[in-house]
Amino acid sequence: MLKKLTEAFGVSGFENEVRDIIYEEIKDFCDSVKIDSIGNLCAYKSAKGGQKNPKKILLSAHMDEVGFIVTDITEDGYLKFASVGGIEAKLMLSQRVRINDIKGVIALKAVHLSTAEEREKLVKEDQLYIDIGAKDKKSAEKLVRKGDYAVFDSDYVEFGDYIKAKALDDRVGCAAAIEVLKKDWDVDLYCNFTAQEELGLRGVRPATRGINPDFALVLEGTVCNDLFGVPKHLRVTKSGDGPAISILDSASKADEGLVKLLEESANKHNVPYQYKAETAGGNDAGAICITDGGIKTASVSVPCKYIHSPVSVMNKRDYENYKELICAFLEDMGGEKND
Amino acid sequence: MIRNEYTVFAPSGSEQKMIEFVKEKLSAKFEKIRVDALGNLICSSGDGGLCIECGMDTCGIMMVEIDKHKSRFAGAGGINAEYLIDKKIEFKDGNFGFARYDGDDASKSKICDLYLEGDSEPLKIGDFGVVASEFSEDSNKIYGNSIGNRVGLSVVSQALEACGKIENLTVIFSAQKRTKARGIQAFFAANEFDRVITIDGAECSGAIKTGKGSFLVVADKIGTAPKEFVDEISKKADKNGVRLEKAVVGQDFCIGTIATLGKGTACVAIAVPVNNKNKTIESIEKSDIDECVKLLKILID
Repeated sequence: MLKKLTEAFGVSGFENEVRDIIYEEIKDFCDSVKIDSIGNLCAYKSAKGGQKNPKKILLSAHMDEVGFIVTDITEDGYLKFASVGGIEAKLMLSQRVRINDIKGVIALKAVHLSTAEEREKLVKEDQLYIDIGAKDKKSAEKLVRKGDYAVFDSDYVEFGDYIKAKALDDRVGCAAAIEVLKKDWDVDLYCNFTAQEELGLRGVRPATRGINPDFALVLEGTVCNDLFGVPKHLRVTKSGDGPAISILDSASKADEGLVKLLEESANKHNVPYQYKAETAGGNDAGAICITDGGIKTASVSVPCKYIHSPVSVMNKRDYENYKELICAFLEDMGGEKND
Repeated sequence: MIRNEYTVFAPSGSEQKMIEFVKEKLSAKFEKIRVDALGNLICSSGDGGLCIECGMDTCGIMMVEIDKHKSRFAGAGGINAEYLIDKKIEFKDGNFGFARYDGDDASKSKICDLYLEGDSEPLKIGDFGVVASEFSEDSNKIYGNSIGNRVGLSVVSQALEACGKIENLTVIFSAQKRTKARGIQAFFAANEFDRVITIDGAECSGAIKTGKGSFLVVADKIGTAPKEFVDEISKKADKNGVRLEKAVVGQDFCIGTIATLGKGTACVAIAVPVNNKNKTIESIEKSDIDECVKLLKILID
């Protein structure tokens, strides 16, 4: 499932392919599945344990990924582009991209042709272009139009204990949510697969309004700076130490009671976990927590190295423990709600 | 007692101690008191169209690495590294440490360069801390760290205490005001009022000066107060001999945020001038606080 989801095309604002995959996977397991006008996929699955007053839990995972949008086609058939979401220009260099079914590469002239001064400078996005093998503008326009979206063209690869893929942020959350929806729970489960998170948490707002859950849990793939040469306190999360529970980031402060419940579930079910130890970054929790007068919200994430690149990498055990933690939490939330 | 309003432990997002403090002080005045999902304390009586808002929290730090020798932390809210150096940092259960910097140039330090010296045993990742409160007063002024963040709460609390039983008023002591005003965003998106008054400390600069009473913020960084509302408050102040000046300020007092949430509302800010805001020790003239309390009491009554 994760392979299929990470290889799918789902740049912010054009999540159709990802949404279709998710819809086909979950439609037979939910009471209702709706697609709203912004492109969110909103599923509902009622409690199966016969509770009169079950807890209402919202899970939220975003479908979209960072990518590119074609802004112009040059006379000689190259595509100028702008990034959609946060991507560093230096990561774009020499990457394969896909514009629907059209293959291309983001290119820069060969080292033989660059000056010493150019080699010292960091490349900027406006210096780059996508080469789709068109001989001129007319040929390119037969394949691509201005406004078309592009994504990194990157395979899902397993190596050792790790998985490399594009868009682990946040197809890991989507994949976990799909597995969750295929099981029965003793809670009323709402699950939103949201659009346009990478463009400023746009989809999640309309998707969340009106649900009024007891708790919301954002399922994410988050920053892991567990890299060579990085001091321990700047690693944010550590690969292999289990799913990360966020405490505070630039978009939200996790509800302390909900964090405690997650810790209790992890301890009870012997699932390793860690805290996301940085206050930068943010996710859909930032919008959810202030919706409808306030919603108790927390985030659980798989630590992913190199996110917003074609080669994000995560630990397989972290992913398995992530799913276990989500399931343990939902299991522990079963039973009647005490109003 | 006033000291407590400025010193209760309440980093952004962990305002429980302040909630208990305010509840104890004001619960008898209101028909209903509740804490919402974001941690806002909401006190209300009747179904009046007026709401008063003030923040409960202060900026602080969050522990990100626990180490026997050098525990590390990140900033929570707008707080800079240089300000923190050598300050005592207090945590919820009375634990503490000192923020240290080993570099040569403090002006270039970042929070990630600092570390906490102290007993790391009781701390864990995710614990919140604040710079230990310092509070002093003389006959004219109060002095302390972060008192500008709390003067709104103090004014509101004093005005409410001075009033009789409260009728037709909602007061929100908002959570997470210093971290993107999240409590405000959640509350005002779901609750409608005809008029909202927000109270906060204002940095002394330009028109805002100490010793002139409080300031009615006609326009802030992103919002403009409706003229009718401004005029109404000004007239009441004049009639009752309360010193109140108008000001246009570059700071964000949440006027624009509050005014445009939900179905929209008329919102003004009342600012108490704070000297040396965001410096190690801020100061506020007592007479300015007193004028603001008087004004608010008139508006509530």
